[in-house]
Amino acid sequence: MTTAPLTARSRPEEARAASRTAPVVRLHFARRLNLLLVPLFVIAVTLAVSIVIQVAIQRAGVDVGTVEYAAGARQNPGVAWALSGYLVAMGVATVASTFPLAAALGTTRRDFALGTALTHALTALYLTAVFVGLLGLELLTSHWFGGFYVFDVNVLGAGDPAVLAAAAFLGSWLALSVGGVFGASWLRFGPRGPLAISVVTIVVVAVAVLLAVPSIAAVADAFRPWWLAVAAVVLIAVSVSGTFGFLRRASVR
Amino acid sequence: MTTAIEITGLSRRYGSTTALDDVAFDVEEGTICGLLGRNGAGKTTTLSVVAGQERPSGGLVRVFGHDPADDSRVAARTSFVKDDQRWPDDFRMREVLAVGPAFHRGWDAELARSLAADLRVPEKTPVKKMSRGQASAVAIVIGLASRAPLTIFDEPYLGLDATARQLFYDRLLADYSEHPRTILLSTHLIDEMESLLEHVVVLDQGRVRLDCDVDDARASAYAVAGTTRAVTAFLDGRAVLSTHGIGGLTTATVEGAADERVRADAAAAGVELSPVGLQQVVAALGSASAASSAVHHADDGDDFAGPTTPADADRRTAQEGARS
Repeated sequence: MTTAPLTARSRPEEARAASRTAPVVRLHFARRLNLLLVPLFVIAVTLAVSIVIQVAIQRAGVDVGTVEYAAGARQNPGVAWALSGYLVAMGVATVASTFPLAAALGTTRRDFALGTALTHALTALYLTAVFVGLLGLELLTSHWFGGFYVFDVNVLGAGDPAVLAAAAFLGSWLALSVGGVFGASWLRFGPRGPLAISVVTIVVVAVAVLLAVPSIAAVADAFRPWWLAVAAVVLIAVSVSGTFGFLRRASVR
Repeated sequence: MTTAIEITGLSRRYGSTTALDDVAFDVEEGTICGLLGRNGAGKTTTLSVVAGQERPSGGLVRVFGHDPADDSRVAARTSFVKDDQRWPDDFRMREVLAVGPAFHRGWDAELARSLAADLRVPEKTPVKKMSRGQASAVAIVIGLASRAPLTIFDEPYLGLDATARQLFYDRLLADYSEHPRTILLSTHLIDEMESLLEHVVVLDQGRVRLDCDVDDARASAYAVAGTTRAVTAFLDGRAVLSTHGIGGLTTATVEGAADERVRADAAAAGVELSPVGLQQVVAALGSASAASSAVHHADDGDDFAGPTTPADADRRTAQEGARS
């Protein structure tokens, strides 16, 4: 009995050829309904609900032609938040329920984490394209032919496509990544994982608020929107790193 | 012939529970190896470690010459669908057929489709909602169609009807002869699958009890039958794996080869010797371990199992030590 030759199989190119990153992306996108179609449905429902509410306001006698109306309507953050919960849930699902199948198909933890991070980024890009496209439609149709503000809202840049693209991309990626790290922590530690992350998050936020309160006015004055982008990038990096770290020692179950 | 799997001194502990203890065996490339043993023997844990899905607490594992834990070179050549495999919520057979080729270079799409049809796997039902047998059929489709150089089946027959099981055995043998690869499978249906196996490893309570070719496994024990008095006399000083008594008659499975001396002793004692099947060997190894501390007497007609004397137990312990 002899042992299989090691040197012939330890070439770096062989490891690269064996990478499962792209197949993991394909595995995730095999679930088109969840990743691609349901978000469209959520956006469509939000659009419809926003329009119905604004029709009701108009029927109450509010003049839609005024600057004051436009300023008020742009305070509507509905579409920005509508997807957040769903995307966090999808982030959890893409890690927690797909990892065992990916492992069964011959995927390492590292390749799965890389492929999943890439999938989250691609999904965020897709949603960004959808948001930008719908903003374009909204502006082209003079706000859906009736002065209805859904995408041209302050929280998404008040009609600035660059700001909307940045907000949609970073927001979607952040929600998916946060869900991913929760899913990975569950795979690693069971229910104690997500619980621990929640407790740590609450403590960190509480301490930050307590520290900031005495100088809240100065912070508010100095605040710039790009802080949010930087914070999102940092949180995405932390979440993706956490996902890698948790999956490294996770059992396949 | 080269070695596909090398395991030395493997241990796996979960808290205070020891699932695997000093496990050691090799599997040569291009063979079908059965991993046998009772529930809780450590079969699935061993398979998971070999597939790189679990990290060992100690010991050395090499698959195709590499540590399988998170090694893409090993993972890319391995297919292992667990018996309690978890599936994404809405994953159906057609998604399996769509993504399979992306993961396994040797994936045979035609084989996958024909297997899915022959095993009557519903295309539109999510795997999570399938019956136990249908989910097992999906695992079989993945395992066979992947043509992975190391294909692992973990009790692949669970829930399958007799026709589907026979279909699986036939297709496995047919595909294996056309595309030889290393197949490691765990099973409790030893009689049904014995003809598929070339090598067996029997685990019990996390330790290897037997590691040999199937023919050697069958020859590793023999059965003896006769009156209780005659059998008891014959068994004195021998390594008894299991005994079974009904009225004044007793049968026993004894470890060791039925050589000329054994046959002469049997003739002198007035007992009959017979060969045993693989299932009998595995069952006897399991029952010997389960009752290793229980010494019963056959004279009263009760069933009993385990070593007949403390000296037997000592001898077995020494044999296990030498084996490990």
